[in-house]
Amino acid sequence: MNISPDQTVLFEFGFIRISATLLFTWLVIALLAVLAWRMTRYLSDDTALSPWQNLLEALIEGILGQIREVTRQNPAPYLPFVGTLFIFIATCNLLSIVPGFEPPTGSLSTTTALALCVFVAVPLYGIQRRGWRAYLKDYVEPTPILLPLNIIGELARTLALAVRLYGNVMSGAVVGAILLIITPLFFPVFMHALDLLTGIIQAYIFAVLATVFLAAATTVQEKRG
Amino acid sequence: MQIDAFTVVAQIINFLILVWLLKRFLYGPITQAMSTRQQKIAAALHEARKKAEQAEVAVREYQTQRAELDAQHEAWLEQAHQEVAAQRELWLEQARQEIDAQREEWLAVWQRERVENQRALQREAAHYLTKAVRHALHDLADADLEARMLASLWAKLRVLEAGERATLAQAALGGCTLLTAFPLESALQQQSQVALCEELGADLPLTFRHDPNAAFGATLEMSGHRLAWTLDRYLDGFSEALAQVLNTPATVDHDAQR
Repeated sequence: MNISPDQTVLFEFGFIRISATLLFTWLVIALLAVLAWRMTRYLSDDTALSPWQNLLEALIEGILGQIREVTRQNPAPYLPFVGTLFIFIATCNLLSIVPGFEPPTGSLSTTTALALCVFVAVPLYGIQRRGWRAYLKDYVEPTPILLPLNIIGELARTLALAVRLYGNVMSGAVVGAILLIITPLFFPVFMHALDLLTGIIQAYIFAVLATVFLAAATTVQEKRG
Repeated sequence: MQIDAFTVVAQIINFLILVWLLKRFLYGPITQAMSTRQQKIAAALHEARKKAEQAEVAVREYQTQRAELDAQHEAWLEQAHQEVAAQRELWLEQARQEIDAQREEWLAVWQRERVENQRALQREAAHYLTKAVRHALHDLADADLEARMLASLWAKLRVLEAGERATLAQAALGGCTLLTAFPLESALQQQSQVALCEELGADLPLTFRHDPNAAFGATLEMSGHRLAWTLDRYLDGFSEALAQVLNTPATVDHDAQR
């Protein structure tokens, strides 16, 4: 039994190792890109909307509302990053119901990659918004002695973010597989349904946590000032 | 539980590509459409507010014009009332003047008729009085009235002064006319011819004329002179007495009548 899709290697050449994680990630990316392109081909800026446009606008408006609520800032700069996090993770988790599909988010490498993206994005947004000096000053606040602890806090935060998502997705898949062996008829169906719910919740939590970290990096100095 | 470095790097790149793709094909168009719609709605609202303000201004202008028209209407109505009142007064005054003129005319006609009636009454009274006097004289003095009136006329001529008689005699040479209100009998005409010749001279031409409308009595007319004895003086006194009886003034006085 493979715990992670990383263990399913499709192609390997030197250090290049194409696993199921990458394959399903590309599939998800292709699916999302095609859907986005198709659904936004005939957008209307009038008051009469198609159902698809209405759905997309509700989704985007919902994400913008969440970002605005957490950051208390203009949500537009954060939308591509946070929105893509949510949509990618939610899509991967929802597609886990498809037989044969292994969600890339069940790979610790994927969640680590996403956590690293957040890890890098937080200082980038902070520096972009507040400047080098003001952002780095946060690490020696309230006293320079706390600099190592602040750095450890940042790393731990990133690790926790990665492991949380991985653990939830992977555990759902593993538990489903075990239950399928033990009680093969109806119970796994409920577990899969529960997986869909927890998958959406995990996507929401990951996106909201990333937004909280971004908000912390971009608004702390302002509050102190 | 392993972390594959290549997979991590590849997933980072994949995620960044996905961010770019979604930004290019999803967030950009959607937010652009939403922004455009928002601007349109804002523009529509702005336009609606502008039109509402214009409508409000138009309503205020309309109300102002309405108030002006009402005021003008009131002024015209007041002016019309005044003109009607003035015209009414004018017409009333004209009617009063016409009525006064009509009344004056009626009064004049009535007065004229009254005078005529009075004169007719006087004539009628004189006629009956004369008739009565004639009967009375005839019964009492055994002489008729015409003879007594002619006798009075000749007696009046007889008592004239010499100068006056000479003047009358001179005037009588041109011809004399004896005017009476009654026809003279031939005997009386002959007596009158004789009396005239005796008083003013022989062979004086005397003609006789009878006019029922003449004053009751006898009048001797010659060129530029006349000598008369009539009942007018007596009748005037009788008329005054009659007027007093009828409680009306004997003479016409327009001012007093008004």
